Amino acid sequence: MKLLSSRRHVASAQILAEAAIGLSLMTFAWILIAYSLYLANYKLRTEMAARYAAWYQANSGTAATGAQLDQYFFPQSGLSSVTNLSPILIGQVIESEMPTNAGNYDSGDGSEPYRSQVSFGVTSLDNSANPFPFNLLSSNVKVPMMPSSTLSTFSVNSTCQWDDDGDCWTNASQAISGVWNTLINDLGSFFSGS
Amino acid sequence: MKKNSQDDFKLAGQMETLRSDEQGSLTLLAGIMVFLVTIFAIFAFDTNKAIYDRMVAQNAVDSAADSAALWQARFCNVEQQLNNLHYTVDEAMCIAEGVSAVMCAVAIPLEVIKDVPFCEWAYGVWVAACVLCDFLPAEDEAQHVFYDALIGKSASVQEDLADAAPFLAFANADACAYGSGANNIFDSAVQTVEEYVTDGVSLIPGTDASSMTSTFNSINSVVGSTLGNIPIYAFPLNPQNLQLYVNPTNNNELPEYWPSAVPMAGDVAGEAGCAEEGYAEVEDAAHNNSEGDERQNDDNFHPQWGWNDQYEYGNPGYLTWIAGVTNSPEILGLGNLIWLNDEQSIVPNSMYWGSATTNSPVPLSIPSYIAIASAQVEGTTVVCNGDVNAAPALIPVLIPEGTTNFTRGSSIPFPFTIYH
Repeated sequence: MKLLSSRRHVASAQILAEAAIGLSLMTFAWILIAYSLYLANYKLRTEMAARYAAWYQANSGTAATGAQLDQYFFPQSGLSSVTNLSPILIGQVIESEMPTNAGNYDSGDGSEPYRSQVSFGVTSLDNSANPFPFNLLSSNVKVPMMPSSTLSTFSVNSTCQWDDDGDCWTNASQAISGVWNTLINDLGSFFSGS
Repeated sequence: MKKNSQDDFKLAGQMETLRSDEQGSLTLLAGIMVFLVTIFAIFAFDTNKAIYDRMVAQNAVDSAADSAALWQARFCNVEQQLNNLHYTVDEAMCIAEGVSAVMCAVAIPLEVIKDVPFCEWAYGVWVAACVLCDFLPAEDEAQHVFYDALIGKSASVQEDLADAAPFLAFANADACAYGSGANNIFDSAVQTVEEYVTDGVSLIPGTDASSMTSTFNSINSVVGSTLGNIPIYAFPLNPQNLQLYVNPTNNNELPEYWPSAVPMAGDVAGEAGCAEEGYAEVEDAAHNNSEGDERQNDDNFHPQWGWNDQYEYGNPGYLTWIAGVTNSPEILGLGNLIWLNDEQSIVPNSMYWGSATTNSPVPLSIPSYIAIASAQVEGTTVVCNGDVNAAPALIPVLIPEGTTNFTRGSSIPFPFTIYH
């Protein structure tokens, strides 16, 4: 009887140990996959949002805000941001060169295309204050084999360029400045290749 | 024998123990579950990537089509503004030349009256009339010079702008496609056609599917030899429509038509009434400017009076563009797991393309996508005097040479797809 009781305890412990291993393995895989699919889904949304942001700025003259994009594309607010990048001009096409700049770009003359990059996700530690279901930063959960610093860059982004539809050169001053800027910027970049 | 029976019994007992032993079963079950979930996750990731590539291709081609139409619209607006300026100058010149011709006519009696006693007042009026009359040849000539500079000669402002518009429309459309993430259109087009050809699908009814690749390659080489090494990220299916299709057209109404009889009559009157004021020298000087000394010395030289101008008329047609994204490795190297696929695993134009068993023609990958979009300039057509309101607009896809509008979900007889 004593022997049977001892064997039952051993089996229970075995089951508990296996359950712990199996469930943690499944949980780990589930978190990784769910989080990755979550970001993959939002990657698609950033592409739609980037087109909208570039189109909106090209047609209205004002940059789209993160709140606007949240309203249309991101059910979860406060985690998207819009950045104006340097537009691709003819020179960059010839050189197959993609200009990179981290900050907001301001063309100044307003006749260039708009190139918008929309990002979604935890892009900085400041964003940890936002409600985020997978906010591993504030919950102090560490993913095994992964440094915590990696989590702060978990974001997705997309970029789209739209020409300045709001500037059709419908008056003389727009036309003169437009032709001049074309000569200086577009054709200038063509010959300089930059 | 007895020993054998005991061994058999012992072995059967061990087998029974092994069969009834559930140790490790939960871990095994969890492992299987994780594996299955991971496999489905990989499919989900790849599907996501394929959808993303389609969206990038469609956004890029939409952006390119809109940009090309925008640049055409801009140049249409510039042409219209120059037409309007031309029209306004013509109106002003009509009035000015009319006044000068009348003053020339008035100068004839004044020239006689000014010498009559007690009519000294007429001298001042005659001089004033002749001053205005003297402007007649200069005004007429100025209109010709202005006309030549705008549109009258092959190297004129409006003709040069119309010639430059197609190149800027193409280049800026190309830049927008590149800035929106498109890949080289010929790479993605050739890949897409190969994907179709591999499956033996005839892209266009009545044509040989396998010839499409060589067709695209020959187009690529022609474009490459024409444009050099400029990479093309978006390409119009109807490149001839990059032209503005605005052409100099005759006009036969005032003020663009100014009957030569009016200034010629003024000229005769000026020579009669203002000869003493040096009208002939003014006339020679004015016409010398544009006609040149050689023609001036020609015995048959006659100043050209009046005008019958031409203005740019017309509007561009629609443009249909394609842009694409080349194939890309599927996530997590699924193509390396050859046991997932059998020899018949090439599936063109689906989520996967390529072979997981032979790596030929390409390893299993997410296929290339090319998208299509049409755009046109909307607003008032370019006329001699009209509204400046041309603007770009994306329109339902129109296949060149075709008559059918294609919207989302339409069956297009090309390997092009409207993705949204």
